[in-house]
Amino acid sequence: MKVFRFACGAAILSLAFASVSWADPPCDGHYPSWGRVCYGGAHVTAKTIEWYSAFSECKPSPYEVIASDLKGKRPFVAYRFKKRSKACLYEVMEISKVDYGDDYWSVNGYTSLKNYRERHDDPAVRQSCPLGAMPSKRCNLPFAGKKQ
Amino acid sequence: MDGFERWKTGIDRADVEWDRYDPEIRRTVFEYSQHLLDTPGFTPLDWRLVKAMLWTESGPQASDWKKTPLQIGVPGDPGLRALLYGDEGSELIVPPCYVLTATGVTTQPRMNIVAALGYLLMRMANYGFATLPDDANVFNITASVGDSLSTLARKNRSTIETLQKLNPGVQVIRAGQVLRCQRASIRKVIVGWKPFTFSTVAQRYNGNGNPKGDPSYSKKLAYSMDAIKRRGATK
Repeated sequence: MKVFRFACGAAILSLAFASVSWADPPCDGHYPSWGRVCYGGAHVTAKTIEWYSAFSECKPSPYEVIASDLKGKRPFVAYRFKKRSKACLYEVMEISKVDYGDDYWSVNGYTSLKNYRERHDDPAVRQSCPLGAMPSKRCNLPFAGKKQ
Repeated sequence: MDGFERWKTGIDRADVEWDRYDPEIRRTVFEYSQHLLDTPGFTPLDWRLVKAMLWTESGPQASDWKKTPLQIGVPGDPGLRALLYGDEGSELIVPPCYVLTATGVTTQPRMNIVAALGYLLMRMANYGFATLPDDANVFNITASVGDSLSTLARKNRSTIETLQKLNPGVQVIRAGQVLRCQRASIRKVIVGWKPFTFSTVAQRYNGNGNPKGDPSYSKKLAYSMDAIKRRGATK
């Protein structure tokens, strides 16, 4: 858990929408999702991110954290795929807290960095997938450390 | 905690917000049912099945709950494309009173529900081809040298089947022969429906029948339906 805490603590210091280099990945772990479109999941490790859903397949890619705020009202971390695979529809993958209950998060994909910045809430350029109830308000989730 | 257990935590905690779309679902199911009532083998849909779909793949914990409660219309989704532009039967399924657009489906919850249900129905219908009259007018035509039922049908925008029906017993066509005719064409029609069971809905709707779809979709539908019934929702 120490690694997670350090990572999340480091994330707090970062400024939103600033490109940051990370010694440790924030919110690393496995994030399963479900549904007609969203079945699959995201996986964040120290070196790569990946995300699979019914119509998009983002294979492991190096990444950069482009924005994060893990202490605000709506904590989130946004990652940019540095080497997008062919069937990957999204350039940016964001893991964010949902404004409902205490422990619900989602994984969101944006077709481009520009769309992430300028059309953040526009469903035409994004896919948002629910994640299971998370037992912690922090990003260091007990179940998130292991790929399932 | 496995994927199903984690998912069902949301259902087990469902509060009144989970019932937010009941009026829209009921209305949409009613409108589709009215539109499709005369198709062979159609039985009016149980609105709770659509609510169970909503609970299976969404819920207030989904960040787009207030815009796109059902997972249709995301980038790359062939489902919405087929519904809006395809020739997979949507023209027979969607009532003409609905004006579906990609923007509407991804920004208005009601239109999102309309699209998801339209897509489900499109995938659950069985299709065939039949000769249908284009108008009610029946008129006389006169055959020329070399005409057959096939050429007469083509020249008069009718079908062989229609000419045979209007002119029983006619086998060989002679020049100068007068026949009855009606404008008609061969069109795609709904010939029946797959059963609306959890497993069929999961197979046809979930991930477009794509093997990448959620393998627990059917189990989740059943669990959601039980939870919805326990809340006292009636047909």
